[in-house]
Amino acid sequence: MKLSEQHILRVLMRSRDRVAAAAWVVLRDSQAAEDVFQNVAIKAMTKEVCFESEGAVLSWAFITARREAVDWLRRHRREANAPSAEILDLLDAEWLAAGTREDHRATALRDCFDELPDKSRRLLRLRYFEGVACAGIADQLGAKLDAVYKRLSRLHSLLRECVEHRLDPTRTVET
Amino acid sequence: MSKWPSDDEALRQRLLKFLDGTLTAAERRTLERLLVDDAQARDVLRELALHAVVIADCERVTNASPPMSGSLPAVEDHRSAALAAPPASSWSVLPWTLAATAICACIVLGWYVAGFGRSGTAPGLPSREQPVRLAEVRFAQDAHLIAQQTPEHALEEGQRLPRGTYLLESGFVELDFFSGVVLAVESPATLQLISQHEARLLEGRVSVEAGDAETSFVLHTPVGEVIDIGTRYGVYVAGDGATETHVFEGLVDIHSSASRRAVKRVEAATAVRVSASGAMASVPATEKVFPQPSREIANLLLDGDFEADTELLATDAEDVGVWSGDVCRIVGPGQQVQPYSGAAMLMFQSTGKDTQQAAPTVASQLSQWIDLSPYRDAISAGRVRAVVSARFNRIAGNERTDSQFGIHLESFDVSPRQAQRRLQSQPAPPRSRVSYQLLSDDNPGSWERAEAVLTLPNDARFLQVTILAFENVSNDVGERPEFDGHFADDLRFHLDVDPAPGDKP
Repeated sequence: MKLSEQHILRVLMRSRDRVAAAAWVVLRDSQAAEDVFQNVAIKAMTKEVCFESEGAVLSWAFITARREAVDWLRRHRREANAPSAEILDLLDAEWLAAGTREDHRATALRDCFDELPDKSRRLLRLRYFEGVACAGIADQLGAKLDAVYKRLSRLHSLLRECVEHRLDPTRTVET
Repeated sequence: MSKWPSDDEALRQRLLKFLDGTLTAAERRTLERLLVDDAQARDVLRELALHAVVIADCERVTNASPPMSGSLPAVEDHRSAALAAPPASSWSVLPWTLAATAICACIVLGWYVAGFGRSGTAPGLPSREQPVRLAEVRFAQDAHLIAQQTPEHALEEGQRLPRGTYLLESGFVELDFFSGVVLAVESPATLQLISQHEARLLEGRVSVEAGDAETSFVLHTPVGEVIDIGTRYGVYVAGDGATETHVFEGLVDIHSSASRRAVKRVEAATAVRVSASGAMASVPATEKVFPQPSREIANLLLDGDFEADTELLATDAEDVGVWSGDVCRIVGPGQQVQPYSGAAMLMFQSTGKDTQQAAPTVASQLSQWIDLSPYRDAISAGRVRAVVSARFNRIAGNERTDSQFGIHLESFDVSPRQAQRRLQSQPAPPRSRVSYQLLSDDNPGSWERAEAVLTLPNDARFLQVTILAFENVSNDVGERPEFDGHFADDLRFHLDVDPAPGDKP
């Protein structure tokens, strides 16, 4: 049975972070990834596309997000520096298979990010919200480039641990 | 929180460099192999991507500014409303049709009922209220562009515009619709952005570059609609609503409001005026009075992919669109080198006589002429850059293997024949020229990229694109072939044309 527009929208919004993240791997630009997600949502409701299942909506959404992301790069004349098509194919399959587990991680991640100290948030904000490359961040902070990569990596680790803990408070992290 | 395993940390740092574009080609290849083979590595990459978009979203919430007038909840269509989740207190829908209203209400109601807000996030937060953005201000020159309901905030280059009405009080702007359509707008103008494929020009002068957008772009005017069929055109709406449509390339259909059945197909280099009463009449077409959007003009250089059907002339050809120069061959994979793209690539074989220096050269070179005359107006205004890039590769070889490649762009104000005659004179005449040279690595698995950009001088008529392989290590005079295994592939060329306001009518 054909899904209603409302149903399609609900599926897409539930997986918004996943679809935007898939686009981000191609774009490396969070604003652009958000634009791509919005375009995917609009297309889902305005194109003559019928979906019989939620899986079909998401499968189509990941394919469309990738195509839109590539188009965005072309229109904005940015050099395509994305992983190879083979890697993107594997990632798409894994985004799809991750299901709601990944969506719950995104929810937990919001709370974890809120708990970070200001200094850490500032670094992540510069990199992912303002889109400053690590070399630019190193300049701004007066730090070495490698130190910026290390700090970012460490922050991602902390966020991961925090997310795991929120999803399963009984879990202990192996050291 | 405890320390994460160090190997994971190292992988994450490599991925961060990969995403930052700071890995070397060899490091990137190694990492890409790992990403293909190792699902855990891909898990880390997906995690970084998820972190990136969620962090950006959290910051958008924190930094959200009040919605601009462009968001205009009162005129959001159901698609925008669905994505915007507007506050219930301000939400209303214009009665375009009862059906649209019903759908709209249903979806917005569904939004709240379904609880789209993430846990801990109430519906109606600013990130949810962000309206669909339709276009970006890509270029602004002396422009004062405002959204009708918030005239106190002038809009600047780089800002993304949602649906709404915009006034351009001075200057010139270029709007890049996310559908791929580009609008150049010159003041004074009033324009409504309706969707990625639709706008309404209430007054003023615009040019539309529809390009290869997959859906037609519809420009509403007070007297009808202009619908592109893959084209470039200009539209002028006078104060009384009379509309002129001038087609520069391709076709457009003009639908008159006076008679919904009346459709006038307008071809390139022609123009039609529709009066305020709906009467249509032909008028002389002119492009110069319309603002010119930026353009990327491709397909001027032929056979840059060096596939099997590429013709190579071992002479100095004067024809446009032909590769000519020293002896080169089109070859398939071999000597541990795979074509960068497609099934074949160019192999440099021997050096020849340098027409520019009248002496034996230490480079094998291949050139193609490009006719610039169709773009002379933009070139004479200094608005055009030529951009060429190519990939080069070679066998590993040994310490006597040559390693240098180059790419040249030269412009001339005379024909190719006259240019070649000039270049044979001594000393060679001055001309606009740019070249880029690189030393390739000894890894046949990697292709090095070279790019050259030349801002064309005002009098440029023809351009010569040349790729070269140099005998920078060992000049094998008399040996055939002179190169051990030196290749080029994926040569791309385009003209970048800057936007500009039109001439005063």
